[in-house]
Amino acid sequence: MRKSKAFLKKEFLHLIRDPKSLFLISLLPVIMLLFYGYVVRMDVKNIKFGVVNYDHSQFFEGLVSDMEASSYFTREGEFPSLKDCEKWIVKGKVDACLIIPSNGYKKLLTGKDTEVLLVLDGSDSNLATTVANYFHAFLAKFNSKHMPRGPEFRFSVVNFFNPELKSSHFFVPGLAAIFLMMICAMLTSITIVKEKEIGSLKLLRLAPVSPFQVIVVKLLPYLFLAVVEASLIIAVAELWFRVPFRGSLLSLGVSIFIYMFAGLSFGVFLSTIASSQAIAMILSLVLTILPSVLLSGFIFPIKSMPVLLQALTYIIPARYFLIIIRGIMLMGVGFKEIYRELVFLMVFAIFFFVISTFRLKREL
Amino acid sequence: MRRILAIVKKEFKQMRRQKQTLLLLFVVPVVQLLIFGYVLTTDVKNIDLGIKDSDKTVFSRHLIDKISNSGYFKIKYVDTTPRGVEELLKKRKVDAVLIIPEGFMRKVLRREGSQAQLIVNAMDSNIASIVTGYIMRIFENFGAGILKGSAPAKVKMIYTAWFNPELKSVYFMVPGLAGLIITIICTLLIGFSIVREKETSTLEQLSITPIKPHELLIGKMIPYALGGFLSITLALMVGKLWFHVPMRGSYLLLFGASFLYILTALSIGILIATFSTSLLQVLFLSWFSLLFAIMLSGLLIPIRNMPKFIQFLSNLTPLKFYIKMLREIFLKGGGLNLMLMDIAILSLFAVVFVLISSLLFRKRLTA
Repeated sequence: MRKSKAFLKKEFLHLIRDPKSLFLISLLPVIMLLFYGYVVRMDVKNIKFGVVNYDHSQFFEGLVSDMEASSYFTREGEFPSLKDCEKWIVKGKVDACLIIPSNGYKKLLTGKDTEVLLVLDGSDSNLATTVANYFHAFLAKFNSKHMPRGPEFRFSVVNFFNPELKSSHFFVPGLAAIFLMMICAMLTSITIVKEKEIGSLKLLRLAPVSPFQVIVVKLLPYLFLAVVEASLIIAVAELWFRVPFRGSLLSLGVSIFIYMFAGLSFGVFLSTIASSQAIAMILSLVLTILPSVLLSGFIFPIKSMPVLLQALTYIIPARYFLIIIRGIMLMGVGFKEIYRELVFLMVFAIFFFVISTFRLKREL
Repeated sequence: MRRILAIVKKEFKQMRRQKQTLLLLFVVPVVQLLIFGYVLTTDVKNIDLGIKDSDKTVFSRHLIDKISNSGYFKIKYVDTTPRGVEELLKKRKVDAVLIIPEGFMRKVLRREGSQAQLIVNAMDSNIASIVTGYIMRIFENFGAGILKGSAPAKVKMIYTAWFNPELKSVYFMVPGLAGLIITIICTLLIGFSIVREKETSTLEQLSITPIKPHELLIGKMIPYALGGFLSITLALMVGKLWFHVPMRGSYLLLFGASFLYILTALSIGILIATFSTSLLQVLFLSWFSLLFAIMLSGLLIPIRNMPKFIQFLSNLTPLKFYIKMLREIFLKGGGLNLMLMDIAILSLFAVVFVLISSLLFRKRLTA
C-alpha cells in the first residue's frame, strides 16, 4: 500500500510539473464546447425562395407574404417565368422556387384543389427534404386559416422534453460526450508508451509493484483530472447554453465517472500496444473521434443506418453515454432507465483495464 | 530540375518502403467512403411509433395500415393514457405516440370536431419535426381518400427536386467525403514526412547539399500530390460505381479544382510541419485544423444555420470551397462560369499557403 502511495505521488508530480500543458488540456474541451456548441445546428432557418406567380390574385399574394412572415422563409425575388428562377437555383441563390399556376384562385372558388409546385434544389438533399416538410406544414396552417373548414382529419402535436424544438439542447450534451471521450483516451494513451520510449519502464521491473498497481496508479491522477474537466463542461452546458437539467446530479455524476474510467482505460490499452507516442496518439484520435462523431448517434440517427453498421455501433462507448447524458439532462431519467447502458460502459472499462494489465505483465 | 527529380525519387522510395503510407493512400479512402457513405444520412427511418387506438373502427385500422405501409414507422400498439406516454418515452420503447380518441372517425365525418394527438420525443428537434411532417402527410392523403367530395378545396403542394429527384442523402455526402479524405491524406502525410526528417536530422543534411529549399519542397510535394490525385480518383470511382452518384459536369474542371485544393492541403501540411518540432505536435495541429474543417466546411452541418460570426469564420477553411465545387460539378453539372468565384478563392488560398509555407520553410531550413 505504502509503495503504491509513493508511486501515486510520483505520477501526480509528473502531472503538475508541467502546469502550462495541464492548464491547456483542462481548458481545451471547454473552449471547444463554447465554440462548436454554436456550430452544430440542424434546424434550418432563412430558406431562400423565389416566386413565379402566374395567378396574380390577392389570395396567392397573401400566401407569399404569409410565408415570409413565418421566420422560416425569406423571399429573394419574383420571376416572370420558371426559366428565370431556374437560373437562380442553379447558381444556388435560392433553395426553392414556388410556382403558382394561373387561375389558381378561380379554381379554388369553384371548389377544386389548386396545386402549387415547389421546385427544390436537390443537390443538398437534406436541406431539400427539410424545405419540403416546412412548406407542407406551412400550407396546412394556411389552409385551415383561409379556407372554409370541412371535415378534416387532424391531430395536435405535443413536443415532449423540448417544446421549443431547440437544436442546441440536443447537441450540446452530445458534444460534451465526444470531447470527454477524446480527452480521456488521449491523456492516457501516451502514459505507458512514454516510459517505454525513455526506458524507464524497464526500471519498473525492478520496483516492487505489480502491473495491476502500475495501471491503477497511472489512471488515478487522470481520473481526478477528468472529473474536474467533466464538471467544467457540464457547467458550461448548463450556465452558458442553458440546457435543461431534469435528472439527478448523482446519476449523472456516477455515469460520467464510469464513462471517464472507460475512456481512460481504453487510452491505457492503446498505450500498451503502441510502439511509439506518435502512434499511440494517432490511434487514440482515429479510434475515438470519428466513431464517436459518426457512429454514436451524435448527429446521424442509428436507427436509419444499415443493419450491419448498426451492429458496429454497439461497441462504441459514446453511443451509450449519449443515451445516458441526453436521458438524464433532457428527459430526467434515473438509474432504472439507464442501468443497461451503465453496465455496458463498466464492462468496456474493465475489459480494457484487464487487458492492459496483462499486456503490461508480459512487457515487464 | 535534375535535383528535384532526385528528391522525388527518394520520396517515392520512402513511400514504397513504408507499407502504412500506401495503405493510407489507397485502402483507407475506399473503406471510409464505403462506411460513411451509408452512415451519413439524415433520412429518418424505422421510427418506433406507439399507437393507442380507442376508435377501433375499420377506418382507424385503415389509417394505421397507411402509416405502417409508409415505410418510415415501426408500429407498436400501446395501451396508455397521455400521462403514461412520458414513461414510454423515457424507457425509449417508442419515439412517438399517436393517440386516436374514441369516436374519432365518426365525429370527423359528422363535423363534430375531434382530433388525434401526436406526442413526440422532441429531444432531437430535427427528428421531431420530420416525424410530425410524415404523419401530417399520411393524414392528409387518408382524408383525401375517404372524404373525397365532401372536403373543401384547398391549396396543395407537389414538389420536384432538381439534380436529385429521389432526394438521396448519399449523393450529397459522397462528394463531401471525398474532399475530406484527401484533406486528411495530403495534410497528414506530407507533415509527417517533413517532421520525420526533422527528428532524424536528415533535413539538416539535405540543407547542406546543393539542393535549394524550393527544389526540396517541390520534390516533396510532387509524390504526395500524385498520391492525393490517385486517392481522390479512387474515392470518386467508388462514389460513382458503388453509390451511383451521378457525374454531370466536366472531368477537366473536377481535376482542375482538385489540383488547386491538393496544392492548398499540401501547403497546410508543410506549414504545420514547419511550426512543429515533433510528430506529436504535427498530430495535434493537424487534428485541430481537421476538426475545424469537418465542422465548418458544410460537410455535415449546414453553414447557413450557424451564427453570423461563425459563418464568417467558415471562409477560412479551403475545404468549404472545394466541397461546394465538387457537389456542383457532380450534381448540378455546373460549368466554369458558375464557379469563377470559388476557383478564384481556392487559387488565392493555394497561392497564399504555398508562399507562406515555402517562405517559412526556407527560413527554418537556412536558419
